[in-house]
Amino acid sequence: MRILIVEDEPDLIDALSRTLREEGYAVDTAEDGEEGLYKAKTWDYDAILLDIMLPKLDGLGLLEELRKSKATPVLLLTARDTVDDRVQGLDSGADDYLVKPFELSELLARLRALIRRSTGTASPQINIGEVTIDTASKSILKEGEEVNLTAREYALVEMLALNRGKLVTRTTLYEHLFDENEDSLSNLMDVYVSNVRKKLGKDFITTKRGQGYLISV
Amino acid sequence: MALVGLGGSLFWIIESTTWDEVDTELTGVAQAITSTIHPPRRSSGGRRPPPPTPIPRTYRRRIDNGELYYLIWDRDQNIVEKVNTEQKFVYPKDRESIQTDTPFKIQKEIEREIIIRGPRARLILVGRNIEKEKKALDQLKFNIISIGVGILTLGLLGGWWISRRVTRPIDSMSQTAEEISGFQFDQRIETKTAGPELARLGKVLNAAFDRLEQALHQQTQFTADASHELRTPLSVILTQVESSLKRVRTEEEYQQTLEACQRAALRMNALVNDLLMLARSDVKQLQLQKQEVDLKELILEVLQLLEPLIQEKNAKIDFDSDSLRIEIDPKRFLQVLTNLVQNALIHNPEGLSIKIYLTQLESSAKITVSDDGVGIPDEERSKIFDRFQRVDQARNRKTGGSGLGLAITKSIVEAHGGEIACLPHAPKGTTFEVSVPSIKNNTE
Repeated sequence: MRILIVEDEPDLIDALSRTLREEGYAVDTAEDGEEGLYKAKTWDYDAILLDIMLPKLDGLGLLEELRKSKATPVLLLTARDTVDDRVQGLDSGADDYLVKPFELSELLARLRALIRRSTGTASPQINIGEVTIDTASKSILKEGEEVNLTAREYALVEMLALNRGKLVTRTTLYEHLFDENEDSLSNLMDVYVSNVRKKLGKDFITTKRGQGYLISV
Repeated sequence: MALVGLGGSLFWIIESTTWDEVDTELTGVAQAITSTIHPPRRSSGGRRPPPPTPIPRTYRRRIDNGELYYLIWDRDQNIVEKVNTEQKFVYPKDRESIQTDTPFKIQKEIEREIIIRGPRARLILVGRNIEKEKKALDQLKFNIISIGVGILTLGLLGGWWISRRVTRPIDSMSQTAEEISGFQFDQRIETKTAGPELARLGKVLNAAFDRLEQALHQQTQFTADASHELRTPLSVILTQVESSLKRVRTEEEYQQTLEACQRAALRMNALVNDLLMLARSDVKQLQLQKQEVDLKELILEVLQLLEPLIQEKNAKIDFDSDSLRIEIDPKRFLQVLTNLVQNALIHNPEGLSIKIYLTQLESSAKITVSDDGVGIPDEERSKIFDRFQRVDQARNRKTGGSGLGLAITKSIVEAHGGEIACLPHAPKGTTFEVSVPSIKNNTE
């Protein structure tokens, strides 16, 4: 899952991106509205954390512009907390609204819910045969036993599971699992896929040669 | 009361007139009867008394019809003659008071009688039935009372209606005022339906409500802005700490977290100080420690303080002035001047030039700070002294400004009894003019 943080407070970006990376997200950042809009339009993010008060282009302006072409889930992060502010934010096309200061655990939960909803999955649990994926605790059970996956491996499984039955191209996987600063070495994905197969079973992920991967229904 | 009095007197006048008429008629009849009585024969010669005259025909007919009755007593209280009546009569006790010209009046249940004195000490009583008159008077009484009640009711209704007309706008005003005092500031007093005087009062009140609403709105906005400004560094601290505590970190990571928290806390501290200062100046409690200062020295100090920023911006400073001594609080005024020069440096691109000069006016000293930078749009210029007002919302964040700088600058200048103005600078840029009253002889 790849997230864009648009926020002009460097110390806040640091803490947010560190935590999100530790949770297995790929994280891109932008410190002003114009850079944020450019990145949001260029990549298919799974969610955007958007501050309202931004230099050059404010968050609501960014949102309005973005909504002309994209439906990326947007969580507004702002210190403005009146009902009018919330209404204006949501009406501008935001999917959720969180008032600063917030607790990280709430932010992470809302982010998970946002991504889950955007893929059309209502329950935080996804069952695929003997394998249960809990998107809330980011853990995977096989035959009732917890399986240890790295954050990146988990992200790969979650991405495929949320798009179950659909082919997910390698490009898409790269775009969602790696951030803008990582060199997307083409064989890195194969390593992750092979590790997941070792842990969850050989047939858990199907390879469509030259196209991508999928988890069957 | 007046109505009752009026009705009463009207009735009384009509009633007495009626009885007077009856009495006059009866007296006329009585006198006519008197003249039929033979006068006493005088033994000692003298003139012959006039012969008795008959009762006039009109009276005669009424007596014959039975409408009138009469009775004659002789001096021995015997009834000499009794016509048209079966009643029993008592001889009047106070005989002496009864005279020929002044009839003695008797009011009975349905009759009215008079007694006069005739010749030979005879008393003549004439009476008649007055049922008709009584009925007419009763009718009149009823009419007067009905009309009185009618007028009274009409008056009350009319009064109520008029008072409603007068008080309705007042009621609606009070209602509106009550609603407004309950913080429903979108309400206004309806002035269209009220009379001219009330409409004027309503307009005055509405204007007051407008100002109140605006003041309250500004206050709310200020509080919202202040809490917003405090929340941003607060969220940095909370997020940094929470993220840091999620797992064991390296020493370096902890160091970074603490530094971020320190920066946020310092920002909050600066903001709280600024807010406190504005709050003090709002209630005129800004303590000034005035002393005689040379403005030239003060400006040189400001320029020295800002030297790193001046170099960074590659700015050209034009300042050459004579000494100008003035009584001010040097610490506060240093803040004012630093703010103005720093603003010019921060908000303009590199290579700008700033011109500062001092002018001694008759009763004040004027400090002018001009730059040839980007300038401030006309519509923004009127608002730049407002709290949390920024021409570019986020440009200040990097410089650590809270959006209170010019508001504080203005409050300090005003605490000195001075004025500050922002003007466009030709051909481009901005000019700030600060004038402070000079009490002493300032020039050297």
